[in-house]
Amino acid sequence: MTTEWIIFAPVALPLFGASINLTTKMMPEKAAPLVQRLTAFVSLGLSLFFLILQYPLVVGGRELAGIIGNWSGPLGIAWRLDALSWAATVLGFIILLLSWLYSLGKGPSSSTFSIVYLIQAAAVAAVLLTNDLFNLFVTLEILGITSYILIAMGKKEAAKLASLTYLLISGTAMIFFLMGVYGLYRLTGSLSLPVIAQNLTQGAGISPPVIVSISFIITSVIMRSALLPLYGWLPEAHAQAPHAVSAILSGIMVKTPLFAFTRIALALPLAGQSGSLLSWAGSLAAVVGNVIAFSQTDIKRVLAYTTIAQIGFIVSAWGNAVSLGANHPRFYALITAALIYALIHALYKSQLFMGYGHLADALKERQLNAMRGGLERSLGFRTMFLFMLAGLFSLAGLPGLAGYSGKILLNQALDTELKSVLLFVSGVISVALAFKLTTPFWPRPRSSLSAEVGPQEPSLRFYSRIVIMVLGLGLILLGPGVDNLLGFFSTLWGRSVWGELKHPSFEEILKTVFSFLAGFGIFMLSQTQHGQRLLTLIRERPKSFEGLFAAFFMGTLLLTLFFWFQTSSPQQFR
Amino acid sequence: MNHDTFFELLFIILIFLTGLWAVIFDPNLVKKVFGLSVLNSSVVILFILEGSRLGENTPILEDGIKNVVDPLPQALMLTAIVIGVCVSAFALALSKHLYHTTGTFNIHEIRRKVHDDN
Repeated sequence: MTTEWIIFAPVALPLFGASINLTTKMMPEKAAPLVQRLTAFVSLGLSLFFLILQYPLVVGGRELAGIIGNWSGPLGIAWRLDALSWAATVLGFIILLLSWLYSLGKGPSSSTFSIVYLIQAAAVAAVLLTNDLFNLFVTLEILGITSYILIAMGKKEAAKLASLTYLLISGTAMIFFLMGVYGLYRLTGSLSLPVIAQNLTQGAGISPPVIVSISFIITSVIMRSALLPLYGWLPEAHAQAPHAVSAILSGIMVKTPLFAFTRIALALPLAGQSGSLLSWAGSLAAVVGNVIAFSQTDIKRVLAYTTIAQIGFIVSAWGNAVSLGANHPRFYALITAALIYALIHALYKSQLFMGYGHLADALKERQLNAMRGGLERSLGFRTMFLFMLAGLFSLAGLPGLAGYSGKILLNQALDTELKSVLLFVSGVISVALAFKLTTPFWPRPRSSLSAEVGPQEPSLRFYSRIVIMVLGLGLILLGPGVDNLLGFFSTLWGRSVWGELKHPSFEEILKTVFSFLAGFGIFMLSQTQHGQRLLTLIRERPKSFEGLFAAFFMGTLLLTLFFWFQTSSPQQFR
Repeated sequence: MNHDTFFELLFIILIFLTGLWAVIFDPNLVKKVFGLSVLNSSVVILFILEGSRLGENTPILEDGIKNVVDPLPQALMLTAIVIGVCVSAFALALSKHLYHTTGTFNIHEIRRKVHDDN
């Protein structure tokens, strides 16, 4: 019984904290914020503590499973804790805790914010523990509802519209998810993943309704991860949310559904093969996302579009791993590469959102060009910006920092030359992006030198500074430290990933140098008139609400056709 | 049995398409939200229909009650309905807020106004 308490602590503790936070509305004005902060900090911190306690349960590739509440067989909700979900939950809670600390100094301070934030933390843990399709529906919806609320807390009106748009597309996707569950339930009589898998392999077999159901389920889950072409909701949602929320959205909320997808893909027959299609979509997304990011002028939109690109990076390797299956010898190496990349991305993306978010607030300006000379105007931010260089260089993939190590690992996890080329192109544009993001360093154009500098926004508060610094240090340490991470993951999975993932060769170093030069070249080109015109064209491409749904249906159709071809033709194409 | 099911499924599909149409194409925000609600209802009916194949009676197990329909889908759908209500409530609150600040429920105009301020 005690083991179950330890396992479910990350779900229960934040919920408990949220309910205590609810009672603070009845407390006197002075005491309420203190109680809120204490409860939230204790809930998140204790959850991390319990997660560390769970380590011995999963180390060596072990897994635990059970049914919640000791119900029997078909009536119970199955849960499962394995090394992969543990790693994902730990990553999630680290980012949740750091972003929450940042929000103490900077973000929304209402009690509603902390309550919803804690419920979201509980939902993250719940999504990663569940092994039951309907429970997955419930936990994904909770994740969604808390996201809509947190996004809507952004200061501008556009935040409400972004939240509503996300709500509508996500709600519709979840309806399709339910229809997929209906299809599987009808044929197998169960909602729990292991039982469905058993029934499908032994009894019902793969029939067209099964193919359609699995397509619906996978597409709906992947939509939450904003993989090409399903990313339409993400730019506005991440750009308009409060900065701490943008950090957790880009850091965890887009990756958690990916883990849920993995569980489904590894359990159900046929589902795992979708990994190869998703891997290609990821490689495309890496290029498309970065190109569109480069065309943006609003700082938070730039960062939001790069998230789409980085998700593409992650899924390129991740999809590949999933399609090979958990029993394949290379599976754990590929997953480790993708997981480390996801961790590094979460670190630097959070830091960039936090830092640039504050800078944008301080300068009252979100357009990059207008932020020139920003560091002179925002006193006290210069030290912060030094730490943020770690984030920027990670984005660019400068050797020595975490981003580079992540990219090198990831490249080894790809299977085709074409994907490597696509990711290389994306990397070149990342370099150009990093140059573009250094705009606040530049001096102001002469024409605006005479402009009055308005009253300064109070500089970044203590907690927010600490978080940005911690993230920067983490990125610096993870550059050379990635070897230690590999060692850690080897112990965690219970098998070595060393042999698969090698140190960078001379050819790779040459490629990196070339990518930096090319990236700088692209950046200089973009400053020309023609460059600006092309970027404007990309930026102002038509985007519609209906387009989100068209993309969703297209994605579902593609996946269904892909599955159909896989089952009807004798050989699998990659 | 099969004949009855055909019309029921057709009915469900019609409701589903109505809801889907409203969510995607109707420019009024409130109608989009209710479209989502209608979509939800169609899937709820679908599940209940599936559960009803097994038996005839309401699944309340008192003495002498046998041959009940499958209770599991009904339990699931209670949860789904609750989630749907919460989502609709929040969405309507957002729509109301957007109406107060922009003066319209039309999504295209709201988009224009909201992005002009950027």
